[in-house]
Amino acid sequence: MSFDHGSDDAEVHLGAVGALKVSSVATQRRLFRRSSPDATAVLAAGSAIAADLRGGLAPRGGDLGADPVGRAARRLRSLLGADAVGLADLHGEPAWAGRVPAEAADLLEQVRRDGHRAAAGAVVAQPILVRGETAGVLVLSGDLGRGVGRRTAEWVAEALERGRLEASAEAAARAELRALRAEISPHFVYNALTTIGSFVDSDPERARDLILDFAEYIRHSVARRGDYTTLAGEFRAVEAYLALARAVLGDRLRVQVRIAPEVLPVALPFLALQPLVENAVQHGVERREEGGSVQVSGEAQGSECVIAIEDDGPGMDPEHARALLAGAGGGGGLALTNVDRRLRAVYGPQYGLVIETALGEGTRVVMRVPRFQTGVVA
Amino acid sequence: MTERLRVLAVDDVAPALAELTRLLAASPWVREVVPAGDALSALKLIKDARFDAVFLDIAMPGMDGLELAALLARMTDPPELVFVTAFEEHAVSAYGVGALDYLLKPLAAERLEAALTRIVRVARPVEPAQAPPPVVDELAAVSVELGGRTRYVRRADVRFAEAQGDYVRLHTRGGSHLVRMPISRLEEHWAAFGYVRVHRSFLLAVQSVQELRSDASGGVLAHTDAGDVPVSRRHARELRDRLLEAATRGDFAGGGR
Repeated sequence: MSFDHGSDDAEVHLGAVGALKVSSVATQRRLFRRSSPDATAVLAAGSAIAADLRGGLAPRGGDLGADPVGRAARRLRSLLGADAVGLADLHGEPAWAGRVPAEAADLLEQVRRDGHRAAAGAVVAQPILVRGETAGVLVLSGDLGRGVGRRTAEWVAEALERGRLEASAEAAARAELRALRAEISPHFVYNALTTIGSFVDSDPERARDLILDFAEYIRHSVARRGDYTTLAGEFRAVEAYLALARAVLGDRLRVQVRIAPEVLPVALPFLALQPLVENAVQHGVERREEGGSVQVSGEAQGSECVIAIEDDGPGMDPEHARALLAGAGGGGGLALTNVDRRLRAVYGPQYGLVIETALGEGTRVVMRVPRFQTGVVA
Repeated sequence: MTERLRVLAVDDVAPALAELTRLLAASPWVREVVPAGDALSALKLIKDARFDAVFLDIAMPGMDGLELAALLARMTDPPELVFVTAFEEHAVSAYGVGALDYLLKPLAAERLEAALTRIVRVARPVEPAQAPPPVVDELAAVSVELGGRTRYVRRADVRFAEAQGDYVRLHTRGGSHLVRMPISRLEEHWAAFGYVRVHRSFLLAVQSVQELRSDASGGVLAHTDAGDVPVSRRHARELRDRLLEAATRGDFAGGGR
């Protein structure tokens, strides 16, 4: 089979599988009508089965009626008009719908052992092959057409594979968000520690202050308390970071932060702002011998809070900025991509970052978040 | 001043205990600091003699800080409790066992001082001899001389006050007025009405802040419609906290004034 993505293809194929089982004249005639109610039902059943199989073939214990694999077997049985349908993992008992045929156990063992189709009378056991490997076994009994077993097994395999892909994509997205959230630049950490060390003798009081800033910076970066903070909390981390960056970069970093008090309680995801400031310092200031300036502002505009981070550094090609937000930039723009994604995930697609930039023109990153978001509590 | 405090410092990490003891001893509120390296010896010390307050680490081998706190809570007249720890996550459980305050490691001297001030207020209720917050609001308006005539400046109009020698200059939107009075006296009377000391020479109305600005050198300015007010580093954190509180109450709902 050639369908490789999207559920429509799969459902169309299931329609074909469903059609193969029919033998009565009445149903055959229905096949030639356009958009017959039966087709809709077949498609719906197909999606439902695919959804049931999303979590794999291992039966999930507890209430038998609630096991999605068992439900998939029952739906397949009624769709195919089979006497019995069994869906089995590589180990353990299959989930059955209908009366379990006596031959089933032997056939199942055979398929699990050899990886080939096995049949005895009206009972067929078909390997479910995912990426060329046996992932489970489909057992069918009843008066079914030729090839129904094979096609159904292939369709089940596709559904399983899609479920696996979805699960791994979700896990990857979660891991990515977490990894990026915890991202602390080792380069910055060593520079900060070196700088603090240099003040220990010459200016112990400043060294103490910087250690407190460093603690604040690290505490915020590795925080695990829920997903939200207030803008006040985020700004605290920004100030701590900037105090350290000022100590490291000296006169090369010129920075101004302006915040209106009414937006201090606004809830936003942890580390939505601080990485952007770090990014601006790294790209707009650190790499230039003459240094540069960074401006951060937060203010209310109606029911929204508008936060802007601006540097007068080298800027970038607007196409590159677009690619960054599309996640295709890689490298240095990771912070932008990550924050943009998290904001969209939390507030909706219209709340992504806006980047205003051109080569040699500096960069301005603007974030808008709702001031009052129901259900979001920092 | 009220009688000074006798405090117990508990931490299993020797340098942390030394630092805590040093900072406590340096405070004018503290008469005596006794260090303890674990919860059991702390418990023994508390049973032997009276302490006004205990500064307590949470993560310690053997009995931890929260367990010790639970034991202390059963005493008839327990000392005030302040937790000192690296993790903000502990805050909820700390307040759950009746802690008065909660400090993060590494310790900031200002935060420790604020905690001690709270202890003094709670543990030693103000004696009548000491001026309580004014019952009669005698400085709701301040008389000023203007062209040989006496006028009154309403407190509500004053965005900030600035010490100038023996005088304070009251800054309002319409101009400023010089009054002969130490800024500490004004602070005493106005603290209860949303005025906070943000600098040795400046007293600021929290609600009049339109914007908080930090500049290239890390200095902080509070911008009001009557001018900018410098905020010293040691007061910046408190001002931020006060602004957050006020904003959370909705004091700036109209977008500042």
